[in-house]
Formats: sequence, structure tokens, C-alpha cells
Amino acid sequence: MLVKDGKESLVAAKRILVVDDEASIRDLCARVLQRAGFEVAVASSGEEAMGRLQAEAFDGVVSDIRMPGLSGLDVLGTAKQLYPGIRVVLITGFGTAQTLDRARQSGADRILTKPFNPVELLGAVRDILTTKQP
Amino acid sequence: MRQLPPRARYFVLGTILAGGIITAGIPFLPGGPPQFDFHFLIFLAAALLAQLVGVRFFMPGREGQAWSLISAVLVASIILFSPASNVVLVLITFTAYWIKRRNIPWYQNLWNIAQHEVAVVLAALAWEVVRPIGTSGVEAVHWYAAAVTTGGVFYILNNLQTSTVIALASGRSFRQVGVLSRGNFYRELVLTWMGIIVADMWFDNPWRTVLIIVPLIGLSQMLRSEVEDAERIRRAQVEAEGRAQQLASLNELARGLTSSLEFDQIFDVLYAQLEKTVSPEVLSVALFDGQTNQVEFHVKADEGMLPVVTRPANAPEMRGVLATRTPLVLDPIRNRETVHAMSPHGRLLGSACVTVVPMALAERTVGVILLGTAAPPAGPQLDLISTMASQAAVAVEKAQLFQRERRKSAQLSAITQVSKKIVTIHNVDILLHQTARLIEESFGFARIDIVLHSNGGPPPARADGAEADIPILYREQTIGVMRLWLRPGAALSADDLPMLQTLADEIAVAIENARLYEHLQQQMGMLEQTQLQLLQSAKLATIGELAAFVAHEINNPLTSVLGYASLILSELPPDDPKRADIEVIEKEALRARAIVRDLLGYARQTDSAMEQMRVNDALESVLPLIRKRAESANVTINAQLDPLVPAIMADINQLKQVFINILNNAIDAMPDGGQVEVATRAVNANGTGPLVEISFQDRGTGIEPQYLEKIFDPFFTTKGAGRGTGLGLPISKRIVERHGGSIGVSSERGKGSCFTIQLPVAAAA
Repeated sequence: MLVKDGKESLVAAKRILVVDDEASIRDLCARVLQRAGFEVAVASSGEEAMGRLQAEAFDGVVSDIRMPGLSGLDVLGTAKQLYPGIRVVLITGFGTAQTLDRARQSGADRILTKPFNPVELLGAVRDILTTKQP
Repeated sequence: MRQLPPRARYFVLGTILAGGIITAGIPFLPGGPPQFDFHFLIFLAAALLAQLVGVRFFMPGREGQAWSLISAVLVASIILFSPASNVVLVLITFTAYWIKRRNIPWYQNLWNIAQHEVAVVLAALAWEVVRPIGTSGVEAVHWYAAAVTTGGVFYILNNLQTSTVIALASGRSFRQVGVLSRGNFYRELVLTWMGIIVADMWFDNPWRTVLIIVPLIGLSQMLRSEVEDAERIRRAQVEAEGRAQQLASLNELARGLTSSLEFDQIFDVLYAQLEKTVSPEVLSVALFDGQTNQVEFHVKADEGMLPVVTRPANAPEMRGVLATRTPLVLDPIRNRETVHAMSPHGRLLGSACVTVVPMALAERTVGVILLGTAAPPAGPQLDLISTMASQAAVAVEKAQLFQRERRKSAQLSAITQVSKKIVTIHNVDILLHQTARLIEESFGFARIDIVLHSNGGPPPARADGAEADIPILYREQTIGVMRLWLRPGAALSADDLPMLQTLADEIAVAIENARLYEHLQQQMGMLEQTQLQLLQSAKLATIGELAAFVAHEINNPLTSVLGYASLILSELPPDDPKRADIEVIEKEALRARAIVRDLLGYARQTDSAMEQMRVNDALESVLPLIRKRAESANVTINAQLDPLVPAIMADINQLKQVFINILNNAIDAMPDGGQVEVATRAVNANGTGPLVEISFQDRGTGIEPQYLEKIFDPFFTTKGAGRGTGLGLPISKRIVERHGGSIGVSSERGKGSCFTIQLPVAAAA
């Protein structure tokens, strides 16, 4: 499936920012998305992500919610403010009802709960980038 | 003559015989045969006059005084005439007396003549011996001394004989007869002296004697009445002494009875006083109990108290005796039937006379005193015994009242104790046993059985020999009986039944209490079990919290493991030998993820946000998620959602979790693919108000019947190692129940299972 996805990626090379304080997960996400043909940038904190977003444009953001310093929700807010059409996938490690509600109300396009399969991540990213915003 | 005791009879016959011999020997007596000269005839006339008329003339109605005058005439006659003349005088005078008193038995009159003959002859013979020749000068003193001696001999002989015959006939002593009293002696001495003076004057001039005799008679009567007055006073004193003794006896009895509340004491005191009064051979008291209509015999014989005997009081021979209000004197031979009935030990039958004295109170008789004596008791004795009986009656009534009160108090104490036991004893068997013993003791019954009816069974039949069955009623239903046996000879008193009924009521309450207590204990047991379950749940909740924490920490590394494993797998060529190993890593990581998710779901139940929502919305948001998995398992999900189902109050996330759990199970149940039908509809169940029902019907393998009731237990799984955690359905059940709903399952082996959830409709806002 990934191979097939890779072929498709040649058609549309979208830019995606991956934000996570955990290096292993950040790298995993980056690798999965790169292999699928996305152009991926990474940030290891909310603050770094803010800098990257202000410096360059992205089609989508994949961010962990809980991080030291600025959270994923802050990143989401900034991204949507800077690029109204940007699509955001938030990742949560502990999917309580409140967290999910807050994430949805902040305008997250998808919420992934850890632990997730790379396929799920890829599916989610692909879904939001190919569908029109509501 | 036959009525006389043998010795008296012999004495009388002997005296009469002596009189006959003297009469026959009249011509041969010293001094020659009687000479009926003028002087003697005057004397004879005087004697007859004194005997028949004289006394009546002066003091009519006092016949006894004639005897004294006769004595004076006889003493004078003894001194003046020959012994034979005197015997004739006696013969004529006392024969005249016989004619006058024909009503006296012949032998008494005959004896009267004979004894006077004996006395006169012996006194006359004594005068023949001691009489002096002259009477002039100092010889007069000698003459008077001899005459007084002769008079004394006559007096002594006459009275000795009279006293002897009375003493022999009545069985009393000489002193008691009272003839030889000091008063009598002085009187006779004066009369004797008068006779001597008459005789003395006769020698000078017989006419002067006639003149002096009139004042002498008056004097004698004066003396006599004084003597008699003295005698009357003496008698009154004796009588008063007797009365005082009786009073003392009654007093002693009263004192004894006042301090006695026990029957034994009463009988002891009464018997002691009765024995002093009449010295009976057999003494008994028959007490009559009006309530039980029984007579109780307390008999005292020489050897002591005999055992108490109880007899029914309605025997006809007893009735007359028990009803008497005045003392009865019975002859055991003539009234054999009655005496036999009143003498259960047969002792009274041996007595010559049976006296029945009622122990009477103002309005009723408490019993009778029965005395067996050798002779009938005298009037005053009977009066005394009657008074004693009255006192004893009061004492007996007092004792009966006391016994009744004491019994009642014991019974009340029994009721109190039963009440106490009711509070403290909660085991029916022990309670009944102890209560029965307590009642036996305080009521003096031979036995008490408390028989409970078996549920709905017929009442047990009355047992042999049982006196009464007292129903044990609870809320107007007979739940058993209290069955009682009396001791031999005992009877139920009128007070007993209401007391026993009170006890029966108490017992009824006690039985119900004990039953309720047992029921309560069962409920307590159940509650304890529920509490244990609750504790178990709390423990699970705690485990859930811990698990959630751990799970969250594990999620990050697990994401990496799963992610990289998948990544590696996607990069390895299909024939790479490492593939299998990596697949194991991925599979195990997935399993870990499932466990963590379930644990998280379990922990998440504590916080929920209830809001008004539609079940269809929740399902519609779940179905797309699950369909992907379903498709990969070749399962199709058909939803038939009724758009009109009403809104419910729920936490949508929790409900989604439930739906996902059930749908996942349904997919797992169909390894070869199949179809799941999801439907919603509104139902109106009885009593619970409108409900929303969600059903999930699969066409899977179904659930083994023995597992049906376990599938909602935590950690129960049929999915095999590594596939299920056993927490999905228990969590679902808890969520549904927290929403006030219910979850159920029906399953048919090989045809599939149907899970049904019912949730209450939200109250219209």
C-alpha cells in the first residue's frame, strides 16, 4: 500500500510540519509521511513549530498535544491563524473526553490517539489534504 | 338401768339390795319393832308435810330445799325414835315422793328409798351406841355432842352415796359432782342442829317444838338461800374461768391464724387449739374450692398429717354437709354414707360421733371442720369450735387470696420474662423451648408444648390427656397452639386462661420477630455479599486508575514500537526471513494497544458529561469507524435507525465506546464474514416509562449457554490468549447501567447473538 501511495505522491507534493517532543515518534511520523511522498519538516517543541510556521508555509501540521512549553493546541491556533486553509492532525496520548472536545473545538481536522499505526496516520493526513474543508 | 355404766349399775343394785334387806329386817332391829304412837304419827305427818307441802307453801318451785328440811326431820326422828320406826318413816316418806315424781325412772326412786334407809339405820345404830342416859345439867353437852355426831353420820352417809352414784354414772370425780361442797356442809350442819334442837325440846314439851319449828324453817331458808347465792357465785367464777380459757384459746388461735398465710401453718394452729378443746380422735378439714368444684381433705390422725386428698364436690352425700351453716352432729352408723364420703382415709368411721362444723364466711362456706370424738361435744364446746371455725375460715380465705395473688404475680413475672426473652432470643426453637419451661414452672403445670402449624397445614389434633390448647394468633391467623397438661389433681383457675392467652400473644409476636430476624439476617448476608462485590468494583476502579496512568506512559513507547515495526514490515521484501519476527513484534504491540485501550476505557468511566443527545447520532458517528475493520473481516453492517426515536440523556463518548465494543465482538464472532444488523426503536416498557432500544444482531457462532451469564464478568473472555482482555462487556454494562439503562443478550448456538441495550428517554425539558 505504501508503495502505491508513493506513486500517488509524485502527483502532489504537499508540505507537512511534524511537531513532537518525543524524537522517536517525530522521526517515525516524518519517515512515514516522507515515504508517502510528502515534503516533511520537523519541530521538537511548540515554540520551534511556531517559528517554522511563521518562516515558511505548510499544507498541513501533525502535532502532539501534550508537550513541555507550548502545547499542540497552541500550535493549532497559530497555524489556523496564519494559514486559514491549513489542515491539522492532533495526536493525543490520553484520549479523555475533555481533551478531545477541546481539540475539536479548536478546529483540529483529525485527532489520533496513541498508539497509532503508521497506516492510520497516513490515512488521516491523506484524508484531510484531499478533502475540501467543511 | 341399762343406760348406766356397769359400775354405777352395780352400786345402785347393791344399795337397793341393802334397802330390801333392811326393810325385811325391820322387826329385828335394836329397840324393837316400830311403835305407831301419837308422837311418831306427828313426826310422820311433819315429814310428809315437809316433803309434799311445806316447802311449796313457803317457797314454791324450789323442790331441792325439801331435801334439807327432810334431813332435819330425819335427824330429829333418829334421836327420838327407835331404828325400826325411822326406817318406816323413810319408807313412807320416800314412797310418797315416788308417787309425786313418777316420771323419774323406777330404779332411781327405789335407790332413793334404799340409800335413805341405809343412812338412817346406820345413823340410828350409831345413836344407840353413843346416846347418854340423862340430859340435865352438864350432861346436856354430852347429849348434844352425841346427837351432832349421829347427825353427822347421817349427813355423811347420805351424801357419800349420792356423790358416788353420780360420779359413777357420769364418769366425773367426786369434787366435780359438787354434792360434798363446803357450802353444803355448813347448811347441813345448821339443819342437823335444828333437828337436834327439835328433838331436845320434844322431851320437855312437844307443843313447844311446833311453835319453834316455823321460825326455824324461815331461818333455814335464809341460810339456804345465802349458801345458794355463794354457790351461784362460785359456779359463775368457774364458768368465767372456763370462758377465759376459751377466750385465751380463741385468742391464741386468732394470733396464730393472723400470722399464717400458708395452709400448713393454718392447719397446725387450728388443730392445736381444737385438740385442746375437744381432744378428738380424728381431726380433719375439708376445703371447698368453688372455682374448680373440688374438695381438699387435710386429715390429722394420731400418727400425724395424712396425704392431702382431692375429691369432686358434687357427690350427693357431700352436698348437704358442705352447704350446712350450722354445726351437725352425725352418727357414723346412721349417717354412714355421708361420713364415708367425708372421710377419704376412712378414719372418721371408727369414731363414735362425727361433728361437722362449717367454716363459714358471711356469704359462703370455705369448708368444714370434721371431728371424730368418743362422745358428742357439749353445747359450749360446739360454740367454741364454731367460733374457731369462723376464724379459720377468714384465715383460709386470706391464704387463698394470698396464694392466688402470689400465683398471679409469678405468672406476671413469667410474662415479663417471656417478653425479655423475646427481645434477646432470636432463634425460634430455643425461644419456644425456654418459654415452655418458664410457663410450666410459674403456673405449676405438668407440661407445656408449643406446637407450630406447618405452613398452610391443618391445625394439629388435640393430644391425649392434654387439658387445653391455647391458640397462638398472629394477625388473626392461628400459627400454632400452646398445649398444656395439668398435674394430677390440679385444675385450671379462671385467672389462668387470660394470662395464658396473653402469653400466647407474646409468643406469637416472638415467633414473628424471630422469623423476621432470620429474614433480616438473610438480607444482611445478601447485603454483605453486595458490599463485597462493590468493594471488588472499587478495587477494579482503582486498578483502572492505575492502569490508565500506566497506559498513558506506555502509549508513547508503544506508538514507536508499533510504528517502527509496521515501517520495517512495509520496507522488507515479502520473502524476507525476518518478516515473521517483525510480524510478531507488530502483533504483540497491537495486543498491548488493545489492552491499554480497554484499561483506559475502564478508567474513563468516572468522568462523564451527560447531555441530551440522540442515539442515532452516536451510532452514525461510530459506524464509519467500525466499518473499515468490518470490511477487512468481510463483514457488512446494516443500520436501520428509526429517525423518530426520542432523545436521551447520555455521555456520547461513553455510549460510542459501548457500541464499538459490541460491534467489535460481533465482527470477532464471524470469522468467516457475515452481517450485523443494528437497529434503534422506541419502546414502552411497563412501569419504567418510554425507552430507547438499540439492538445488535450478528449471524456469528453464538455464545455457549454456560457462558451467557459470565460474559459481563470482568476478565472473562472466549477470544483466546492475546485476543481479548475480558473488559469490553463489563465496561459496557457499567456504562449502560450508569445511564439508568440495561443490557441483555440472547444467543443461539450457530445462529448468532443479539445484544439489546435499553436506555431511558430524557425527561421533556
